[in-house]
Amino acid sequence: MSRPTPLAELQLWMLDAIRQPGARIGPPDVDARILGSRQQTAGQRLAVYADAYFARLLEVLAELFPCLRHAVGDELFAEFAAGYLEAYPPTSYTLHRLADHFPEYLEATRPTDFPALAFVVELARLEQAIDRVFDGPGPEELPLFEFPAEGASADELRLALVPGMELLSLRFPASSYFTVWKNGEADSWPPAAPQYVALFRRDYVVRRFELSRVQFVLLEHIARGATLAEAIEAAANIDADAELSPTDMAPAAELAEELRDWFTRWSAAGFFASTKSPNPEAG
Amino acid sequence: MSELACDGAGGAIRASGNKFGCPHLGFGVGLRSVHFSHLLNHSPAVDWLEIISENFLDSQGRPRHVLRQLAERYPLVMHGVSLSIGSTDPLDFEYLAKLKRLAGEISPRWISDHLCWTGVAGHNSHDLLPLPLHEESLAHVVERVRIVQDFLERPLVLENPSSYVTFADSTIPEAEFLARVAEEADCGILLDVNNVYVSSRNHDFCPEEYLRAVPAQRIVQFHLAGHTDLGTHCIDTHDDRVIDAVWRLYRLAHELTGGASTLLEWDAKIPSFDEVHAEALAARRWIAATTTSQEANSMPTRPTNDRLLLPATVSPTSTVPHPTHLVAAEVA
Repeated sequence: MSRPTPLAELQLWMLDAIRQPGARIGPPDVDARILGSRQQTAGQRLAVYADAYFARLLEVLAELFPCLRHAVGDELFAEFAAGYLEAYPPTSYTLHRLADHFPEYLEATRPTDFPALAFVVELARLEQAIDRVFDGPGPEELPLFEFPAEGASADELRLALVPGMELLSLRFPASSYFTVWKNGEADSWPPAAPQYVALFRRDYVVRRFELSRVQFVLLEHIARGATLAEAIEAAANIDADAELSPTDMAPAAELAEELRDWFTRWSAAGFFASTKSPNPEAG
Repeated sequence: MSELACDGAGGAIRASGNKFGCPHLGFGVGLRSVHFSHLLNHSPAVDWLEIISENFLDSQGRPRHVLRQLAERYPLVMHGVSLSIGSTDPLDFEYLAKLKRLAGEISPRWISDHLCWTGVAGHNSHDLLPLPLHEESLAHVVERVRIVQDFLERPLVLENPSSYVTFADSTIPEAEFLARVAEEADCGILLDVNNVYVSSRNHDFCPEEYLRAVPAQRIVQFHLAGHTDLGTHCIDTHDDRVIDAVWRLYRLAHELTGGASTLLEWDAKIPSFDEVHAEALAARRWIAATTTSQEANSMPTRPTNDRLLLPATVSPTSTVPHPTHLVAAEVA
């Protein structure tokens, strides 16, 4: 009796065969490797796996990006998925890593003569971040945060954001679109406009908090470990570029008035985990 | 390797006839995220739960939080889909370490996966792909099962997956292959009765002969599920009730083994927990029918669900084979 095909060779052959887009009848040598049944040819039998491969992974991507799927429709979403899976076939033992490169893929492949498609990329970035925050580290086991009493020096005070919090700077108002979709309402794609979002978890549910640019810069500096005074200074000095609305422009005096309100709301919402040591370098 | 045994810590759970001393947990259901809230809020009197290990290995959010609570209320079993015991890629020890760590946290009664491969050359198909069944592949799997068992320090329980192709190189019938892997590697068997049926239709073999060829003392657990009959072949979709032909096979398996922990899987078009649980408990009635009437071939307690009686034009809405598992994010 002849020796069988080496197992590694057969497995490479099968994986390659079932990953071919539109693999309905199998590769030319399918009949040499697979037997037909009473009711199916070898190619038809192999196609069960080929069909399942794409259908299963498409289903997972659709679950990870439900709003994006709604925005582009089933057909275009399936095209995106097919291209992505070809460019980035799954390598992890968990399906939760399947979409690790999806926004990156969409950005790299979007036609430059159709700038509105950048909205799709931003929506993908938002939904990917939602999934990360949902099952990543979170604040649920932490003690309740209390903002430092009056008199704490902003020059020394450093705040720690809750574990897992993500600050997103988006080129389109994808979070607003997500809200409309979540409420079951139809909406057309929004025009380009910057949107800033804090994503974090409370009681194991992902929360979205839309921010102004000043708030985003402030929180971004806090996240990097700046003192409160440094973060406020950075936020107060952002350029009032043409894209900003008047409410985004924040002269220092106006900013100071709003800070108390912001930090009260953010503390209540669960943005902060703790205060850090005033002088971490001192040990 | 030293003698391995199941973690039988379980109080009143009765012993089973398997050689590992794994307890007979009763009639359980597969834990799915759509039922998380129901289980936490109502603590239904289900005998035990089987988790999909990969849904919890890396979780630091709600899935792990829910699992910790359920581990305090129910006996659990860890069932994996990514071990890829038949692959020619090296075993993933990072994955195995995570399995072991999770097992240390929730104390499952045993850990199971499938007699299959899921990927090669670093790629994962996320499907349960079939092996060619011959001496070389047998030796390959046996060696890897031994390594995994040594690493996990507990017996591995391997399930027969549904399959849709027969390799020209295969020389060993599937039931014999499964039996020899179990005997030579000294591992347990999770006998999926629905998979036996599905594969028997796809490969034209006798499912009853299959059941008689599997060593009963190594069967730690049974799986039951619904499937989709496409006329020319069946697909293991886990999207419906168990058909009567599968129930009859289950009854035979019960007779051959003296009974083992039984679990119902439902993975697509998942109904309420109570409906899934009721389907799992139907197993009791089929077993009871064994003792009350040796001639009983169907259950009178509900209408027949044997789709083999339906015309082959029945059009399923989903033909994606198990597994597809993901816990979707909850976002406000």
